[in-house]
Amino acid sequence: MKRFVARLTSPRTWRETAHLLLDLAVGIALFTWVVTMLSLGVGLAITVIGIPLLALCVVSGRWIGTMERGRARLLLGDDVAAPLPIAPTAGLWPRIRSGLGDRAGWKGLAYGLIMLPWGIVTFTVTVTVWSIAVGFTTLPLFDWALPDGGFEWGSYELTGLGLVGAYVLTFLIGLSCLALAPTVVHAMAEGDRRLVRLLLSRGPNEVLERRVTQLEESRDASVESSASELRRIERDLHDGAQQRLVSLAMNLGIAKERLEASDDPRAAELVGRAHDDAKQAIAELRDLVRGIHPAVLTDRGLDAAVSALAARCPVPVALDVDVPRRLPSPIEAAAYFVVAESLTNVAKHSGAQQAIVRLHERERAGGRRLVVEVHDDGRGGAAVELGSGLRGLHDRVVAVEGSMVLNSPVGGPTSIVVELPCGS
Amino acid sequence: MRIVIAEDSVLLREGITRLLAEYDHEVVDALGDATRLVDSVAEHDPDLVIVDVRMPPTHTDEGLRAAVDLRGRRPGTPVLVLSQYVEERYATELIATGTAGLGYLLKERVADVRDFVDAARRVAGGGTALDPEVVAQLLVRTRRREPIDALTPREREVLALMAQGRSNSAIAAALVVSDGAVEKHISSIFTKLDLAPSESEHRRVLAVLAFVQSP
Repeated sequence: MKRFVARLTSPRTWRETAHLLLDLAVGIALFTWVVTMLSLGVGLAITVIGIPLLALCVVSGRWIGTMERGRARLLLGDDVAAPLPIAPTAGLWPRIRSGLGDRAGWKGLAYGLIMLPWGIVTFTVTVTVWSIAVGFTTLPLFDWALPDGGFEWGSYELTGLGLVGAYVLTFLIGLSCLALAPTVVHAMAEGDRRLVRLLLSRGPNEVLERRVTQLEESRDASVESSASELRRIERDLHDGAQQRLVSLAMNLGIAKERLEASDDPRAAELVGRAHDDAKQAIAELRDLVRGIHPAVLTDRGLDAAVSALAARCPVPVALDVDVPRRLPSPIEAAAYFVVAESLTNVAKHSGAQQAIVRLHERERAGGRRLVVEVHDDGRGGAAVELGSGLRGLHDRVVAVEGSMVLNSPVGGPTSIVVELPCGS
Repeated sequence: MRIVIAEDSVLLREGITRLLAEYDHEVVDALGDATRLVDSVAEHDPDLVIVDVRMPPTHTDEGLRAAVDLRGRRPGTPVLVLSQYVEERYATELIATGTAGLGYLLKERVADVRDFVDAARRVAGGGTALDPEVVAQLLVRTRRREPIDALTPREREVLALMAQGRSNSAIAAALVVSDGAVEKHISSIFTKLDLAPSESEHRRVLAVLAFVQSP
């Protein structure tokens, strides 16, 4: 008995009842909003304002979420975490795009549509259960005031209970409804909670996914910035130090020629040595630039840059490049670096008679990939752990989300196969 | 020689001008970009045009475009192209305009004063001066082909020097062997590559390049 009363008078029951009763009104309002906005947006999609309108509509799904999470917190005592805000983007079109693709927004709209039928159910059941509970238990108190001779008993005469019997029966029905009402209300409120949690809450992996996206973006940015930094260094070296060195060497060359014609062999020798040093410096600077990011790669792309590498390699290289288009600069830089480093190893350590370099694009499950292969017929035994060159190569490949397979048994041959993601 | 030069770096433009003056050649016009090159050549009718590949306004290959254009309008105009790097397509486009009076050198070769002036003279005289790196790159493309594989490393060296437009004695000096040895190598190369021997140096280059460039 005590429990019965406690359940009936618990604030939780009444808050939940209020929530369930509000469901219909909320459902009607949301359904109207969502259907109007969606059909407006879709209908006007071919005009300029349709798409932004549709994006706005999707984003309004988030407003629905905010409102409904608030209602659930207040009346259902359910504190649901909001989805993460849309990642900020600059410019109107990217914003519209990220608005249109916003999952939380679409889920909010789905919630708005489901709320109408669900609200009809919850409202009807709640009103019915409470009406029967209250009305039947208190029927004798107001039966006299009802028009047309009181409550419509239907066929109570047939049951043969008489008026008092009928009052007792309805009282018992009312009482059982009263006992049942909190359970029914809790059950339907649980339905409300689930809807909110399913459609309006933060997904279990959302924080992780957002973090992954952020890390990917920051990784891409750092790879790109280091690539552009290398290009800038190359540019600066070429425009500055290289030109000046060439000019210096040229003047020293002229001076040497003049001194050789004069009768000062000591001076001629000194200037000659300075001339050789200057030429050596030019060569070293050029090799340095070639090792990081040569101008031919920036200007002419992989094919030209890799041909130059193959041409300079002291071991004969068979070259097969099938990359007709320009790829993202960090990918080109990484592929170039792979070939440069591999051919350096071939020349220095492998003792190979012949090397093969192959570059081509392949369709893979995760998108297009640039496949870079370097094979040689040398003595093998190379390992990423052994050589810092291969280590650097591996790190460079991993930095752009590439993969590298090194196969180099002792006795040879050696093959390095690198795959780099290269967009669509 | 009377020379027109187009080079955007003031330092190098003036340096090369000074260098050429040292050997009694006159730079009749020095341009900072390639836009007026054709007009300038028409005006001065020089013995040699020296042009940098990468120049304003786009800093890509306007010098090369101008050189190809110039040789299209005035066939046989001796042009010495200077480039920061060697590119096979650049070389192919230039060679397509004819190898007579054609030079394609890395920019930094100007540091080797005497070699550079020799190359300039050779080009002005209707000869050819291709950078060793140009030749190496043209050859790497053909290494898959069997006839070239049949060459010994020494023959390969001789072929590369030949393609640069060097004479037999120049090749002999470069490799520190006798003229006779070079002649033996060359006839062996011609046999292996199935090329008819020829006296003219120019035709030798043409033959080598025709083979290298053939599809």
